[in-house]
Amino acid sequence: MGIFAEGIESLKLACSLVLLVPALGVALMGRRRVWLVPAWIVTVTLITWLGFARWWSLRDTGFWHVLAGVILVALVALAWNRDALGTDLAATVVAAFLAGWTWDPCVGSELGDIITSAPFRPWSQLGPSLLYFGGLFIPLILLASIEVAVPKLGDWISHPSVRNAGLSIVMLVGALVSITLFDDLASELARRSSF
Amino acid sequence: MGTRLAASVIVLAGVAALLWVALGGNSTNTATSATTVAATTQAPSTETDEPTRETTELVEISIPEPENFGPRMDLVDLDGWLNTDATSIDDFNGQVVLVEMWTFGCFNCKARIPFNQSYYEQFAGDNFEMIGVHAPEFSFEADVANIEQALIDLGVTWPIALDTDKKNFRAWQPGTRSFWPRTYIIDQNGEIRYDHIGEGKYEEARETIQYLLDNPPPPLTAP
Repeated sequence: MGIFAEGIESLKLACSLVLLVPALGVALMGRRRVWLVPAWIVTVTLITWLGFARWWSLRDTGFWHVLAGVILVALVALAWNRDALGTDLAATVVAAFLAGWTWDPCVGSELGDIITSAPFRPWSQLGPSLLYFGGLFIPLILLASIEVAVPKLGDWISHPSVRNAGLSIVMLVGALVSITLFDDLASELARRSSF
Repeated sequence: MGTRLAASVIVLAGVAALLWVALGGNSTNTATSATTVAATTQAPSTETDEPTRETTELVEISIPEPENFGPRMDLVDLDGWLNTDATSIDDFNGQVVLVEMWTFGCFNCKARIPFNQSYYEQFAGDNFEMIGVHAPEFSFEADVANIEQALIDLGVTWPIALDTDKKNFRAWQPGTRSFWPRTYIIDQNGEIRYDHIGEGKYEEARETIQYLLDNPPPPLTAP
């Protein structure tokens, strides 16, 4: 459970903003959280775990990074027009991929053990990685669960204006990544926060 | 109905987990616990040298030779140094050197500082030095005035190499991702003998330093 708790503690780290800002957007995207939240968590886990295991060798700079940002903007625009599960899922997966790829973590002792072991025993570190991100994204899990447990509250947090706000955040992330300014947004948020 | 019940259980469990962590239930990863342990470690040596000597003897008996991870890299294209007159990592050749990649805004890096301070005090006067390679994550951490103020606030007195563009931060860490903090211990021949990512393994680092000071490797001979 230590790794899960360390994930929760990481919610307060400025280093986690790169993940939490787009996660907030996905969390607000609307009535399909039961699908979107697991997709978000699994995708972030997979891309970071691949990096820890050194099976993913592309640095988060240059052409491919910009291209991923442009694809995210296009997918969010599509999701806005269609309002369908497929497009929402596609935007979520690309946003999660981009966030996980961009993230340079501040590392506690439990995550440090995962990162240290992953190049030598990659498969044994997949479960602990999932637990870590389960902790870090626990607000998303709570939102998705509340939507199911208390449908009236679900109606309120799935209001079209909330969905528009969520899509705006994800689109802003994609736009800033595609012009290589996303780090500056995270920097400004970190500076203004009380971390 | 079953789905709603399951979702309700998840909500309750999630809220309980949040509260547990917020109230300090997970104490393995906090700056407070780091400070406490470091203070405990330092306390005996301020009163008498005896406990430190006992620790040294224990290390000599029980600690295996640290693994050799190969030669260290250079620190290149730096924006300067703080807390030292050194101008290159080569100025520390022949010493046991702890090199740490860090940035002052990083919570986990700050959690390591009390332990680093305890190494610096414990091994002062020995053939030991520390270098903090300051690699900012955010732009406000790149401002030298902010760094200097943070060094004062955090009590960091060892040499700091300014790696503003993170060239060394990236070069020293192979793979697609780099981490804050990452700690290396370099032996007298410039070989990496300890490599740890994140918090923790503080005593292992202390024992590695002690081992290398007590058992310096034979000088490398030219091929």
